[in-house]
Amino acid sequence: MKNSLFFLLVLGCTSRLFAQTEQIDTSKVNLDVLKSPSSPAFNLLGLSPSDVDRPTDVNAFALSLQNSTKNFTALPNSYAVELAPVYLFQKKLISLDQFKATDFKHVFWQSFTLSIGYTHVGPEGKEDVDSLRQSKAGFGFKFSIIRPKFSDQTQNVYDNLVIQQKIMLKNYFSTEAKHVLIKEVVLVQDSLRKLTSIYPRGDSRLVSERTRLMAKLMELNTKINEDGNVELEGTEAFQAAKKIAADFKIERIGPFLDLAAGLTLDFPDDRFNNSMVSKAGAWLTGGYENGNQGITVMGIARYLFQPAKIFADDNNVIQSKDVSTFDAGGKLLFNGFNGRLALSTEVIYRSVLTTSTVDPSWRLVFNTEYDIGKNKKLTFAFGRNFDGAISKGGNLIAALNFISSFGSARKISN
Amino acid sequence: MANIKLLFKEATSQTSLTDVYQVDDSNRLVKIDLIIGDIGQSSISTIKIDDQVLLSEHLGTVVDFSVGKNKAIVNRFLNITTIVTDVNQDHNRTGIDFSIKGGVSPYHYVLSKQVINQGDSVAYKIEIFFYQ
Repeated sequence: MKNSLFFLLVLGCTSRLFAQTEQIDTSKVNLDVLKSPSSPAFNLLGLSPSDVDRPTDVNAFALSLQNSTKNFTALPNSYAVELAPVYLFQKKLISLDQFKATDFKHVFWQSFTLSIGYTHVGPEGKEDVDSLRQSKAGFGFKFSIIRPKFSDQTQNVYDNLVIQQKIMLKNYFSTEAKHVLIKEVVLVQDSLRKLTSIYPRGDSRLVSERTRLMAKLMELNTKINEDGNVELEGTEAFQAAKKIAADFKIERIGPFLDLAAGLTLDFPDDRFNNSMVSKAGAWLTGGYENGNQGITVMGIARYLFQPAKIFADDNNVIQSKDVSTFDAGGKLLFNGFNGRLALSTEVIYRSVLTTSTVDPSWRLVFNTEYDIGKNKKLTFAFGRNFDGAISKGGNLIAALNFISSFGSARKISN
Repeated sequence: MANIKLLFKEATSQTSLTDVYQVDDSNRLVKIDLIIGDIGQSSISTIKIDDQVLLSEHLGTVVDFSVGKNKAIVNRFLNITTIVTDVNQDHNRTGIDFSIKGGVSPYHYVLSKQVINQGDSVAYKIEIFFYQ
């Protein structure tokens, strides 16, 4: 009750102070515009993610290349491939337990992806006009530098899975020990051990007898393993593990930092020794991931060279040729008092680095929401916009609402 | 069509390996790698030499693990039992990339099984006889 009165008092005072201000449009621009693309190279090249091959081993990559080049006889009009080098160089880092690790080696290799794309098409709308075709290549990469650890909930689910796996392992050993063929296995193993005491080393009979006994052992082991797997499927642990694994989702809590970058090269006369950088970009994303509770912080910094649209230039007054831009943004979310209080702040900065025609500008939005009762929620938004407000240097109140509904006991959601 | 796909999966599956590995008279260590796949899968393994447990209920991949000196493991059996559970929801591939080094020559073998249902587990069995 004290909290409710306090917020009513604060909001009441501020509404008097800023009653004449205009409303800010919070939906128009948000931090998502700065978000790094899933594949930087393809984003800069303008390729659709559905056109991308994602081979998971060397053979699949070779097959992908072979198909797109018509058996290595022609350059394709468009080719895009995304590779995770961990498959080629660090296969030992790909099992689930390795994804718990937060050290740089694990985080880097498990998140590192390379994207490579090539197009030989005309400009938009005239893609198939041969005389207008131009070769373009795109290269990009992304990786995490810091990754949060498993949340307690994810860790508990993983621990439960491990318990079921331990039971399955014990069940398998038990099935193996009780199998009718196990006595035969022991006999064959004993015979193999005794071979060197029966035949001298290098004797051809030793080799042929060993080959015969190993073939027999292989046959027995294969049968026991097949039966063991059938038996395993009928156990409670198998079903329990199946349920846990089917619902397993990794939730992480803690600080994170990701880097993505890419560039595209144009080949004006289709010769590979004559190229120029047509677009480039780099994205650094960091923050603190905290699930749905407490404080979540996110920050993004973005550098673009010759972007298709200059974010800071609302009126399109400058050409993007040889222009570099730098944009940054931050977001802070707080959920407290058992979900009754929600605070969020979002700030965006945008600038053009290579010309002073457009001044840097920034925007700030602050939102708060407090659930004061069954059907009552206080919302308060406060913002500073990119445009007029900047020249005035002042702040404005975006909205002050007291929402009260009648008749229904449903909770009002945002 | 579904049956053909199933037959193909079954035909390419192998969950048991029984083989020999040649060692020498030296004191050099024989080491194994047991790489669990495919990406994001969960596993547990127990490794034995005859009845002696070398590694019990180990989670995930095993790298550069010593099973003994060359001359000490002649006429003995290496036994590896691994349960792999399909946790990754993007694919149903499970597998083991197994290799031995330190003996007369390197050895490498891949076992794999594509499970039918998300969350299924597979028991893999490897038995290697060390001979001279």
